[in-house]
Amino acid sequence: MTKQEISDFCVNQLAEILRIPKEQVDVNAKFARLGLDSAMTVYLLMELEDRLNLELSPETFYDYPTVDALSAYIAEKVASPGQPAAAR
Amino acid sequence: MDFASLVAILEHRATTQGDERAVVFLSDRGNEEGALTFRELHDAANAVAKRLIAIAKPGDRALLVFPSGLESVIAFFGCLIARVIAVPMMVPRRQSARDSSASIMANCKPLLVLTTPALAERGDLAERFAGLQWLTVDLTPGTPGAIDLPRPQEDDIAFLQYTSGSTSDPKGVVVTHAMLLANMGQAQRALGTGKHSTCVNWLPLYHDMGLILGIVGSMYLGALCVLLAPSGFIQRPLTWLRAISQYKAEITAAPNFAYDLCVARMRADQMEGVDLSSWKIILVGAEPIRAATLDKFIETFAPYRLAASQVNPGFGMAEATLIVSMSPVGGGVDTRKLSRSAMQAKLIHDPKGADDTHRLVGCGYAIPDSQLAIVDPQTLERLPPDTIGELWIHGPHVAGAYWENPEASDRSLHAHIKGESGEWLRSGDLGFLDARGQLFITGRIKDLIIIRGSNHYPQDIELSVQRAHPALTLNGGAVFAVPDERGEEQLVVVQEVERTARNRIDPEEITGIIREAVAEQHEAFARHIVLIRPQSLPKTTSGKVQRSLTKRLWLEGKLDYLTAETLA
Repeated sequence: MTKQEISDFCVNQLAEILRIPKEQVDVNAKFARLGLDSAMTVYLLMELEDRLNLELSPETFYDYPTVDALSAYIAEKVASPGQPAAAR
Repeated sequence: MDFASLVAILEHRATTQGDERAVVFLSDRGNEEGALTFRELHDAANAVAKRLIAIAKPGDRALLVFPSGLESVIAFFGCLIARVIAVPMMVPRRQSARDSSASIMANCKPLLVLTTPALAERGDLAERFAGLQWLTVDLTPGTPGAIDLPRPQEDDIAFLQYTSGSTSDPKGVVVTHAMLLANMGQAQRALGTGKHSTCVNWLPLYHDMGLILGIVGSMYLGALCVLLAPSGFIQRPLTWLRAISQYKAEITAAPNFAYDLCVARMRADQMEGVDLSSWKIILVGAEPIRAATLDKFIETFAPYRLAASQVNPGFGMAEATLIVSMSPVGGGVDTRKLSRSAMQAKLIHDPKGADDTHRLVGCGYAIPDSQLAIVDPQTLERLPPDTIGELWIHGPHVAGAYWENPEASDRSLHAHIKGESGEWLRSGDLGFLDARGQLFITGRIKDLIIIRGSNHYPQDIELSVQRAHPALTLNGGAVFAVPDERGEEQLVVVQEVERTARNRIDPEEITGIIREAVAEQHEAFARHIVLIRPQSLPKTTSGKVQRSLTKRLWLEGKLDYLTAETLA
């Protein structure tokens, strides 16, 4: 998946979790600014893990606190050779 | 059983079943990370007690700041042995500048903090707990043998439970050994539990349900307690069910949302080989219980031999140690169909039709050796069956005091029903008893908001909102919750904007700031944020915010909006 695809996936999921229109999910807004509490963060994390078949730690969301930063990080992680996504 | 304290029970267990496992801690994937036998727990707790008495005297308060794990259990029993009053507390979040920890500390004036070596390294905690003595607890085995210390007496304080009370008025329920033994005895008689009654608990151990049902209850019974981290459960709830199957667990307790989460996260491939037939007592409590949640949970997991008859709705609160009422074991969920419109007027009537039907879940009956009453909260008169009023509770499990808060103690713990003798606990919850004495909860008197089992006081959230930006008027906001179409409570923030600022602010920016403050400081999502004109918030003549009137006006769309940012 490309960064754009991952970003779109996150936006769709966040729109569903927060029950807001997709257009209202600002990819450059911090997750906390969108209002996500930690349980909601975990929902997004689980959806990403399921979809991408990789493991993410909740800390990832603190290190990459926007959709844009997070999808860039994940795209790199998915693409990077020698660090295959962990099997579940 | 005839023991004066939990310490005596721990010693008895270490002597009579020392090699049996007392606590197991599982990783988020369900693998065993560590375990303690009753003897190992006893010895490690004694070692902690020895270190404690070198720096503290009986009656001093010690904060317990631990992630879920064996260390926290050792520290808890260590405090009990040393007769140092334990104060379990949530590990403060890094980002959260203002949370309950400061007000808890101001109220209980702790001498020391017990934590793990890893948390002791955290700079923000060092700052937060500056001035306290630190004691780190790890899994170094203790030395065998008894300790030469006087045992706690029945009326000695075991710990303070700060689950109720707002930040501005913290209430630490004073929990004595006598209360713990009484409540665990009442539960045992009602449920028929024993040594075989393995418990799998993911609730945090600073929460009364996790600490008392998981740790204290299992010790009382001599049963195994299997622990999971709360974050692990939220992430992978099926691990809980797999552990129940693996350890043939009999008893668990969890709030309503946990059962929704299991259904939402159900994956057949992760449930292979799971057999839930050992699960006899599935307690549900701590937040409003929804019939639809339980129906779905039962339907989803029936193929894994979950028996509908074992789901056991109940009611509990920290002021009554933990358990107040439970359903009869094996009786399943009992619901009653009532008129929704009549209930809003606090009346009990049969429904007028399908649209008017609300299925209310029965919370069972008073546990043995205790009494429930429904009382008119204004006249303080006892009300007849099928009449909505405030739930009052009487029994040996009811607390005598909140720590250093005599006004709240008198008001809530030593109440009198008009024309009757005896002291009662006022729950602050509204409900009724039916003709057979089954308890139904219909709402709350106080403005308390419960989301996913956590209590939120509106005034705490209102203050966080008002501190988030200078354009937001102090004492000019109201926070309340409304159920959404799924019946889940959703937070609504109504807030006045300063006259001088109202033409200069960017409403979108402000609502983002508010949403961020609420998420970071209260772990809650502010779904609806409404900015209103200065001095348009409903208040009493004395200037008190009228939350229920604000809620009604919001529902009717009659507030004086500056903007209507509602997201819905």
